[in-house]
Amino acid sequence: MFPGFDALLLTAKLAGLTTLILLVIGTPIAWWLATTKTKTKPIIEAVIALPIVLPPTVLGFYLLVFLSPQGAVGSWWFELTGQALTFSFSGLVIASVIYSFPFVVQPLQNAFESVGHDMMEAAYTLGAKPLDAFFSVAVPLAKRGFLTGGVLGFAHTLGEFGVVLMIGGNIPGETRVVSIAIYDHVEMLEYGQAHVLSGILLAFAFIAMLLMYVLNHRLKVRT
Amino acid sequence: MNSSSCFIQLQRADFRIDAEFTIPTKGVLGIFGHSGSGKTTLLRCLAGLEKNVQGRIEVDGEIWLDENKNLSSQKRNIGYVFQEGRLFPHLTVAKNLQYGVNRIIAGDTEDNSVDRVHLFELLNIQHLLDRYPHQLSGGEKQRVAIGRALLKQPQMLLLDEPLASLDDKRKQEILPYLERLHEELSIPIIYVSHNMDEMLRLCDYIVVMQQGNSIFSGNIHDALISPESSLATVDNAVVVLEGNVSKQEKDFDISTVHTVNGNQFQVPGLTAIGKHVRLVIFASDVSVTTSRAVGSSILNIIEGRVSAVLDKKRGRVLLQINCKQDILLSLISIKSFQLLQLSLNEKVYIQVKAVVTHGN
Repeated sequence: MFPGFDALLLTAKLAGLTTLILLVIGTPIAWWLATTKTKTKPIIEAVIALPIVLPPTVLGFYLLVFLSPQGAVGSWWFELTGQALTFSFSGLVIASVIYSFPFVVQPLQNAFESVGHDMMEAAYTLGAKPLDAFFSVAVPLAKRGFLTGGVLGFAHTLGEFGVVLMIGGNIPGETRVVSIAIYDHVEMLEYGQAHVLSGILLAFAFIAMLLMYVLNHRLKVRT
Repeated sequence: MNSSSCFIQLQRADFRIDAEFTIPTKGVLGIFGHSGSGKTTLLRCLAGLEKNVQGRIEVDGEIWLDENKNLSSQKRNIGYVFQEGRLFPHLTVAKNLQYGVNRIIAGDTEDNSVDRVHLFELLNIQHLLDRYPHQLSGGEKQRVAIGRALLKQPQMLLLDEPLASLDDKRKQEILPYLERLHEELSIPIIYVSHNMDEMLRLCDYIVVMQQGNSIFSGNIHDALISPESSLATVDNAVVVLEGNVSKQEKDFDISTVHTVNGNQFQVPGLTAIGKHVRLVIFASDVSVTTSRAVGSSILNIIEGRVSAVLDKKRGRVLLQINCKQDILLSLISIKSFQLLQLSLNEKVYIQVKAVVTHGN
């Protein structure tokens, strides 16, 4: 294996797992946001959108405080597993889920909003229970939202740097993701290796975006 | 099916629905009213699509709504056709049609399974099965939506202005299908519309909605001649009579229709003898004479008695004329009314200038 392969593998694992978790927990939240009439909706939307505008170091700092073995969440995790969340892969997953949350939830919410209540009502009058109508009507009609959310969640997690640095550090095979590895190589003036990893990320990012736009066009449900 | 009763109340911030009516065991019940009169909301209440509805709905012995219970839409055995059809865009016509069938709860429907071939033929949708909704015209979409609602074998078919989104040409295309449904279905159809022509063509019974209240509920013949329904006014008075074709005159391209009460009307066009037709007669096409006119070009001259004066407005008066129990309406000027010295129970002859027939 070429140097940096571990970092690539670790990054892919982190991004994949994060995207999966986000699709599972983001879907019901996005559906709820798309259908709720509660007056607190803007507050919740603002909180979810925070990672888009917050400097990653700020987010990382608060996560460090919460996830450390002395922190609210970290101490509970420490008692449960005997391990610290900070400077561990599990901690990175939690941080990435929060960091990439809006990138998955917002496309899903938009997609669900465009499905609209009308189609769901039609399904109900045809005998579908709410969960049945959700999977047989809302999900297929929102498939572009799932694609966009999935790709953006994955790609955004790939590019994570500041948050990882704050709470994960630079442990090879555990928290040393590609972006950190590139930074390291540049620090040590190993431009060749930095080029290889950067090139791979660049190519991957381009292919991911291209795929998303191509599929997005193909998956369009005509009305 | 036993008849079903509905008493529906719904309170919204700026709107209130208060309606009571009986759903017939068969035939078309029209819910008529102007835009904003609450007719669609009323239908949605009946379908279980609205929240916080109060009252009582009993359908064929089963309670759908009372103080303790409000069955969700999927538990009410209805077929619902929305104004815009609402076909699922990601499914082919065949799969749209199948959607409700796959969700029939065993034992929930009577076991006379729908004859698909016949239904598809009736609605003329057989050739559309492989298409997607975006490949259909507005009229085709509505026909598929009606088929989808009927295939799940509902206890009643609810139609929410199914023609409103169509242009006139498409409307004329769909109406015959609706008339055939009327003829063939053994379940009641509840038909919401603000269009009086559709009501006159299709409905046997009518609920008139005004500002959220049902001001009249009964059969359409009664509705059209009673002041309570607010339909018998100078502006748009019309009656509907039922009869059977008894004679054809090919040379004159004219047919004779006998009403149940024994009156005869000659109507333009040739219609098969014995066929049941509906006659629509506008009050403005009916004039009154005190003696039988001779040398008149008008063929339909019938004897009757003035049975009520229903409305007076802008120099015109609306008379109710009883002709052997067939009730007709005549719109004449107040001046003629005075000159002829008409009064209640007086024997008159009515001259009917035009009769519109609908075969159903």
